[in-house]
Amino acid sequence: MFSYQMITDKEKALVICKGDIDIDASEIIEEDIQPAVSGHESVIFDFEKIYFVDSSGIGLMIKLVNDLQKEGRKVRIERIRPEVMEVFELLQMDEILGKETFE
Amino acid sequence: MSILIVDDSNFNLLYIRNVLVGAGYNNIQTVSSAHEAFKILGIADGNVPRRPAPVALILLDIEMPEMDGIAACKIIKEHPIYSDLPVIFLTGKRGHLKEAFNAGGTDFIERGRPEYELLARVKSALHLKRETDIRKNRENRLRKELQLAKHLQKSVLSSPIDDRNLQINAKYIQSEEVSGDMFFWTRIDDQKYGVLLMDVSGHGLSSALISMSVRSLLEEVIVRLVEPSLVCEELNKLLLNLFKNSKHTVYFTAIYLLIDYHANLIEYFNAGHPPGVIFTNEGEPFHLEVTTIPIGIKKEINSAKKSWLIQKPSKVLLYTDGLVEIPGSSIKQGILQLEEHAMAVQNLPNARFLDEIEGFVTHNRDDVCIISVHLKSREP
Repeated sequence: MFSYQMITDKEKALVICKGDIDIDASEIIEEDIQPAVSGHESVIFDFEKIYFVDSSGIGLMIKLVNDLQKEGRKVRIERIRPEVMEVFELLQMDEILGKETFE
Repeated sequence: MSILIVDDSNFNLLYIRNVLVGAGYNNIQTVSSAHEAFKILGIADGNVPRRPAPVALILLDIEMPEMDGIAACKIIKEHPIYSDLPVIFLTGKRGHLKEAFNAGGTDFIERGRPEYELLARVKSALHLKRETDIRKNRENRLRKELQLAKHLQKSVLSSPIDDRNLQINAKYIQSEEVSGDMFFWTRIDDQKYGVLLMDVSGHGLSSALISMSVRSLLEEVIVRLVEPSLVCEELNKLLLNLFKNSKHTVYFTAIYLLIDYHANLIEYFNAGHPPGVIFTNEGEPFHLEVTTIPIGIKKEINSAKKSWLIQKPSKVLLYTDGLVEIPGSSIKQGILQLEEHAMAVQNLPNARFLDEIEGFVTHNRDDVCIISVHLKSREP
């Protein structure tokens, strides 16, 4: 199960994510999160409560972050758990999304 | 499909039949005992039919001589082919209703109630049965389709190679009917071999479609370009082009080896794939670490040139992440455990070695593909 909470001010959107990011998360990410954050200059995803990301989930994240970056938004993913970080490292996510996404 | 009425009273049989005919139902069978009903269903005398009889609904009297309706219903429901067949009990009193429902009845009709009640219950039971039949047929068709797809997918996998240089074997374990894992190998000339293992993102049908479309291009790409960096760039270009109209990110991780006995080298690229491992008889295993991002994500893909000086005899183990990925635990941990396990059995013959590695699969959440290349020491 994947769920999220969003805290916003004028410039920033903080998206606190929870659960697993896999194929079941696609509707929430594409239809809820993406439109909700796209008006903000900077978007931060808090991954402290994301325990598992599979290859479909990686695909969803790549698309979401890439689309936001194309609109000129600054995107960061923070507080990634070590077991999720391993998957990100294996797939070279810093290379794909830019190192600044993970700083 | 007929409605079967079972009642020992001729008067009741006629009455119910007339009500149903009056409402436009015309395919009605009437029998006066449980045994005759069993004959129609093909289950008399302990017979187990392969297919259900064309009965859509049974109206079953509870109180009958020889065998009562509740016992009859239990026997009918012991046959899995009749698990969805609705049975409506006919009863004069409500005393037996609990047992009747426990026996697998779906509804009941009290004698002496108005006709519209009987008709409403019959109509709703028939409707539910029709819906269930449609759904089950669709599921059966899909299952058969998937089994065929699974068979087709397996049929395009490369056959083992066993020649004077090396031996290549693989295991292909599908978690669902079809998968996004795929491998391919070929002899490029008498001293060169190309071996590729890929894992398409996602699971099931959509991943299988992607892997099959890539599979159809692989042989041409590998035989024409040979070099890892060129193969990598070409596959990336092809995939981006193939799925340029998809609104989803389509990508795969892959590891490709060019085994060159002439130069005594293995050159490789690893696009976001778990590291392959080479076991020799001396020292630590060598890792075929990641050299570039997965294929199909970005236009630019640069694979650093990496190689390993061939030592013989040795075994090269390639696998997809399903082998080492245990949800909630670390992939690195999984890889370490796999290595320990593999080192202990590295000197087994290639096929037996693979059997041992397959034993490492603890769960079946994901597809798993394992390749072992045994590099033989040449006889002088």
